[in-house]
Formats: sequence, structure tokens, C-alpha cells
Amino acid sequence: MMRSNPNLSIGLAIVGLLALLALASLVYTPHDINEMHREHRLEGPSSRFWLGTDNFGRDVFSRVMHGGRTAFFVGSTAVAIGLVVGTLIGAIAGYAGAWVDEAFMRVMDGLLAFPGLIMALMVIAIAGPGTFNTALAIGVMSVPTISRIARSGFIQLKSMDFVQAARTIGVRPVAIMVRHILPNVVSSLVVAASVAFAAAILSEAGLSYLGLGVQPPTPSWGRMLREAQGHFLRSPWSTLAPGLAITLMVLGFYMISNGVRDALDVRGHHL
Amino acid sequence: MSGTPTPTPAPSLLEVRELCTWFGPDDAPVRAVDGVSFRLERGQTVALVGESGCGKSVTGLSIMQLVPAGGRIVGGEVRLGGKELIRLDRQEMTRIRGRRMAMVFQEPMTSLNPLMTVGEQIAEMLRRHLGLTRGQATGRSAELLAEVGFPRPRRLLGEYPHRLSGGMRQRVMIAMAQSCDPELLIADEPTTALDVTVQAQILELLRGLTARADTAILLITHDLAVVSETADHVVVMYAGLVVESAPTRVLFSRPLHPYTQGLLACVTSITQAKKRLRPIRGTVPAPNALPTGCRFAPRCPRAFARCPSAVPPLVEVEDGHQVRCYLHPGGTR
Amino acid sequence: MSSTYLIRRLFSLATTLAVVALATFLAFEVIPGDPVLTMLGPDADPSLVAAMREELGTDLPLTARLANWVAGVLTGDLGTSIRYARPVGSLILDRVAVSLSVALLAMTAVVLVAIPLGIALAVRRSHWSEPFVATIIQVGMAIPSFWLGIILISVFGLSLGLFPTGGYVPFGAGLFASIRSVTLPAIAIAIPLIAVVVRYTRNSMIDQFSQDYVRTAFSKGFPVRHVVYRHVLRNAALPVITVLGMIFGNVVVGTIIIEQVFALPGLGLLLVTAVSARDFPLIQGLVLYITFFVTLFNLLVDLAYHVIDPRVELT
Repeated sequence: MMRSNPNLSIGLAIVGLLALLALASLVYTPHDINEMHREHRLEGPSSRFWLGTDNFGRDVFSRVMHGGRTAFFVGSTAVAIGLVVGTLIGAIAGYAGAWVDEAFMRVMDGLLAFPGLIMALMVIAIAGPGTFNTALAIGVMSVPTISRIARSGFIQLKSMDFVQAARTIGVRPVAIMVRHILPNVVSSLVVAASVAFAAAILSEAGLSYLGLGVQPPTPSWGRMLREAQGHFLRSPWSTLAPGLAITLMVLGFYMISNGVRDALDVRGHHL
Repeated sequence: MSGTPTPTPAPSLLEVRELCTWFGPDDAPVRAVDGVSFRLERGQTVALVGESGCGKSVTGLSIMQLVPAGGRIVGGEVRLGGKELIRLDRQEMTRIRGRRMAMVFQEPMTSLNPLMTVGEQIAEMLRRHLGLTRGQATGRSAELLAEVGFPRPRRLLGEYPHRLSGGMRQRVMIAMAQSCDPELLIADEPTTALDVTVQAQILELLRGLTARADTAILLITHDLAVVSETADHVVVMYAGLVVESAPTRVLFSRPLHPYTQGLLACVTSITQAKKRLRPIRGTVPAPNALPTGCRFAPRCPRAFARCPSAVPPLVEVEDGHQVRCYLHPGGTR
Repeated sequence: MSSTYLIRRLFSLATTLAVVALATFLAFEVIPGDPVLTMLGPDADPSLVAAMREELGTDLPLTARLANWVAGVLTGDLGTSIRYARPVGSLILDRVAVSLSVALLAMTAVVLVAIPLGIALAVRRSHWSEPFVATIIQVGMAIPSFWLGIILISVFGLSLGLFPTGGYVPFGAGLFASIRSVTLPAIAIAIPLIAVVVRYTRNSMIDQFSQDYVRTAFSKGFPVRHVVYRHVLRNAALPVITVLGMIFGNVVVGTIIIEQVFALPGLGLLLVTAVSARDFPLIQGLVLYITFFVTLFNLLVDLAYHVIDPRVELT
């Protein structure tokens, strides 16, 4: 168990670094994120503007820092929604079994048929764009997958001896679920959550790029790409920086999920 | 016997000499097979016997040059009809496998390709080694299936393995293995995974093979009951080494090594009723933590001071009967 | 393939489509307040509001509206777009070719590149290259396709002039020009998915290598090439087929976003416009259409799987 796990450590390092930058933006950014330095538009990296400036002359580095904050907020809110709702549905379906399970899973199968972002777009259309609504939309999108994972975990575990034993001595179902089964499902949910986090970052960026996610003036990496489009040849950094930030963040969470899987299950060999 | 040119006798069909197959890192190898020697003549059946983990399956796979990933042959010789196989290049080896020697494995459920029909799996061998056309190969496949006892072989050709029982699959494996009339058939625990009644049928098939086609069989098994009915000669392995080797009748009537005696004592039908049935105490040592000296000593009821000093040599105590034990120090006995 | 399997599969398809249709309908029922006011804004002209109500049938009870919606879906009538004042069906038909060519080209690229690459990486595995391959694949999976699109359009379109920088050329105007107009978007969508499929193909192949039947094939005297192509490949293909089905949804989502990058007038651009304009009938119709399409594709993938795998009768 204590063998080296490069996936997990590198993943945690990447996410940790980005989290640090995002946290730092709460108290300090090199420049005001909305201040337009009109005489310095679309400049390359310099000692004053570390990652250059965008087409309005705003400091790209400061905006990437703040965009990370948005990404973390949307990601964690979405994953929290997905985990809570998904686990609840999965737990009830898996534990109740019989027709309850059948019905829940038919519905989840149906919802799973919606390509992820389509469902998010539907939620946005109803609730309107904005930072929280984006998180809500992405959270809803991850519910079917997470509920299926939780359900299979609960089904597997409820037939196990220790659960049967708890049941025969008269422990109430809710107590069994929370105290006996949930801790055993957590590991697979951790993996699912880190994959969902990566997907949430990509979706947030996508929605914001389409102009349907996070709205100005809140900086978001996807929104930055939308605004930088067309200026790549003159000033690649305003495009490269937010794109690299998204890629790194997603990569970090993928690596964490692979690392956790490695740590839990020795036989799996994946890249 | 030096200078005089005596007519060299025809080489044995299979001669394994000081074969060593190790696994794992070079600095701390797992010596699965650690200097195994034996020979096998044409049409003969030799049983390679031992508990699981003694290295008998790895010996079989080493002869086929199919050592599993992580393992390598580090020394010794494997000669088939006098031809050294270990240093043969890969391409030459593919012409020998399946053609001159074939193998039947322990797990009939997983040893056939699940997505190819039985017919395809036999026919592809005939086409490769014997150069048959598709049509000829199909016809011959049906004949082969009939030979292993399928009443309606034509219909079986189009079936996929999952539709067959374990015994049927093992018969398909045997039909496949004998399809190119190999000189040597290595059968690795061919009956272990099967029902007792089916076991008998499979053994009967193998016996028929030696009688009819003069195929030699290396039968790898842990089951001495199987050995007594099938083999001409028995090689007993323990912890990567041969500990006793003798003609079957001799081995069963006068086993010399305490390990062999222990194995025989486990088989009620063979031992006289008055002899008590007693299992061998302890377990096979892990191949990466072998005891110094005789590897069986820690479990041996007759161990004495000399046993842990060094590995005893394999000595010939009488014609064709070899044993590796300080109780039987060869000529001084 | 057994007919019971087919019947069961078609039944589950029907329930899935029913859930999809119902969810699409109900989603726009949960809007708090009056959907017409939400669409037109609180200051809208009352006569317009009344007309819209009648047009959408929002004054009818829920069950009647559901019945209308289902009847419409079954007869191919997806309602009328508010923004375009045209039937949703005809709007979709006008634009579907664009999205379809991008998606199919991307899917083709994924299959043609990722599967051979995955096989090659499984067969030629070496100790030192492993971490590099692993890193490249993980990074590849993490790249957002629209970012890739922005860079591709700038480099190969604007700078080198090898491809158009946007817009769609219909088939009628020349097949070559048409394919050229969707090449960059398809590549942008394909690259991250190639990473996904390479990984699956490679892992699936490696899993198969350790199976008993592979040892049998070697014991029969076949060279590596034959064992890989005749024995392993078919078995390794099964999980890869499943993944191809799964990533088709990603291709569709990728198409929706990439159309914005390349200004391609497809279903994605239409959907984005519809969402920003809160054109609910159009959104409903598009969501239903796209989801049905993806579901049907998955059915085909499933059937393909079971044609290859004879063991289906057991499950």
C-alpha cells in the first residue's frame, strides 16, 4: 500500500498548486483583474505582465488566478450536488431493491442517454446562466453516473455477512446504510468524484466559452478563451494561458482518480 | 569407454538436462525450476509429479519455450530428438510447436478462444503446419473430432467453446493437440478441472494416443492415481528439483524418497490397508525462501543431522531408479 | 443473435426514449412562474403574451399538454421555434448535415487513428517508453477540444491558409471543399478522444495477452503476428466497441461547442442560440432529436458487440 504512487502525488501537486493560486487571488493578484491597460493591449509576457495582456489590456496572469477560483467553486459545488443527490438515489435504489430499484434505474438509464452537456444546457435554459446555475447544471449532469456507481456498491455490500448480521440484530436500515455500507462505498465514490471534477472543469469551460456559463465580470477560463479568440497570432499567451490552466486542472484530477484507483486495487493496470 | 567409435544410439525423443527457469529480479530470483533433468523415449508416457508450486508446470512450459512473462530459462538444455530448443530462434520454434510437440492445458474453460469456432481453431493448425486447404482442413478437423469421441463432429465444427462442457472442451483441446501428429504431447493437469467420470474418458483418450500414434506423453499431474494407470515412468519433483525418478511399478512398490513415500501414503487405493493414511505435514517452501540443504528436510519425518548441510545429489540406486536423499547415498548403500 | 435478446434490447430502447421524451417535456414544466412571461419578459405586450399562450398551449392542463407533446413527437412535429417562427423540424433538417459531417469525420478519425495506435502500443511495449506514453495519453485526454480548435484555426487557417477559417461548404458545392471545411473541427474534437480510445485499446489488448487462450495459440505454433491479429484482436475489440459507443456522446457534445469556434451553422450553433434566446420549443426539439440520435447510435454499437460475441445467449 505504501509503494510510490506517482499518479496520485503528481496529480495532488498540480491541483494543489492551482488551488494555491486560486486561494491567493482572494487576497492578492498582481493587477486588478478588470483594470484595462489600454496602452498595453495584447502584449507578450513581461516582468510587469507575467503572462501578457488580453485584447482589453487586462493582466492575463491575474485573470487566470481568479479564473481558477471560479473553476474550483463551480467544480466543487457541482461535484457536491452530484455526490449528495447521486449517492442518495443510488443508496435508496440499491438498498431497497425490487421495483424501487427497477424504476429508479430505468429513469437513470434514460437520463444517462442525454449527452452530458445537453442536459446542462437544458438546465441553463431554464435557470439562466450565471456561476451558481452553471454549477447546478453540471451537478445535475453528473447525477446519473454517480447514482449508478453508488447503487452497485450498495447492492454488492448489502448481501455481505456483516450487513446481514447487523440487520438480524435489529439495526435500523438507515443506520445500516450510513454506518455500515457507506464507508465501504466511499472509495469508489472518491474515484468517481475526481473524474466528475475533471468533467466539471471541462464543462464549465465549455459553457462559459459558449457564453452560457459564468458571466462577466467574473473571470472564467472558458470565457477568457472566448474573448481571446482571433488574437492568437498576435498574442498567443492570452489563448495559451487559460487553455493550459484548464488542461492542467483536468489532468490533475484525472491523475488523482487514477492514483486512488491504483492505491485501492493492485491488479488494475492502466496508463 | 573412450576412443573406440561405438555406434551412437539414437537420441531420446526428449532430453531435459539441468533445466533452470527463474522468475523475478536477477538479484533475488524465484527459482521455480532449479536444475531438472529427465528423458522421455518415443511412445513412452512419463509422469511429472508433485504438489502445486513444485515447478512441474513451469517445466512443461519451459520445454515448449512458453515461459510466462517475468520468467526466463537461465540454464540447461532441452533437446527434442537431439535438437537443442532453448537457443533456437523464435521463428524456428514456431515450426516445432504444434507440429512436433503440442500441449494440453489444465483449464479447458479458458484455454480455447471464446470468439472462434471449434472448427476454426483446429483447422488453422492444420493449415499452418500441414499446408491443407480450407476445405481439406475442415474435413480433417471433423475426423479428428470423431477420433476423440464426438458422435456428430460436423455439427461441432461451427460451435463456439462456451456451448461445450469442460470435458468436451478438453477433448477438443486433445483433438487440436494431436492434429499434426506430434511426437510429444505435454499434458498439464489435463483432468484436474474435470469430473471424475470425465477424467477417466480423457485418460483413456491419452492412452489411446500413445498406443495408436506412438506419441510420447509428458503427463504433468499431482494425482498419483492417474499416474499409476497411465505412466511408464515417474519423475517426482519437489521445490524445483527432481527428488526421485523410477519406472512406475518400481516407484509404487519401492518408493525411496520420504517425500514420495509421503505422497503415496496419501493415496488410499494404492497403499495396503494396514498402512496408515497420513498427510505430509507442512507446506511446500516458497521458491524465494528455500531452505539450505535438502529442501524437503523441514517436513521430512526421517530428517537427520546431515540433511540441512547441502542439497543431496541425485544418485542412481538401481537401474533407472534415481533418488535425491542422504538416506540412499548411492553406491555406499 | 437471439431474437429474445433483440426484443429485450428494443424494449429497453423504447423505455429509454420514453424517459428522454418525458424528461425533456417535464424539464420545461418546472420553470417557476409563467413560461411565456419568462420567455418574453415581464414587460411584454399582453396581446403577444395571449397569442403565445395559445400558440404553445400553456393554458391547457398538464396532461393535455403532455398528450399534445407526445403526439407531436410521434408524428415528427416538434413545434414551432419562437425566435425563427418556423417549424423546429425544418430548422433541424436544414442544419443537420453540418453537424453530422463534423461528428462522423471526427468519429472516423478516432477509429482510424486510435485503434491501430493502441494495438501498436500494446504489442511494442517497452519498459522505458511506458511513462512517456502514459503521460502523453493523460495530457491528451485533458485538453479541451475548443481550445485546440482555436489554436488549429489560427495556425492552419489564418497563418498557413491550408484550411478555411470558418463556415461550412455543403456537399453540393464539391465534396473535397466540403470535407476541407469540417476537417479542422473534426481534428479538434478527435484528438482528446483519440487519447481515450488509445488507452482503452491498449489496455484491452494487454488484458487479453494474459489470457489462457493466447498461451494455447502460441502452443499451436503461431507467430506473434497471427496470435495478435487472429486471436487477440477480436477479443480485445469488445471493450473498445463499448467505449466507441460511449464516446459518441462526447463527439456530439464536442461538435456543439466546436461549431461556435468555427462558425459552423449546425445544430450546435442553433442550440446555443436557442438557449441564449430561451426559445423553449426549439431547445426541446433539439435536445430530443440529438438525444434520440445518440441513443440509436448506441443501440447499433450494442448490436455490433453482440454480433461479434457469440456468448450473448448466456446473458
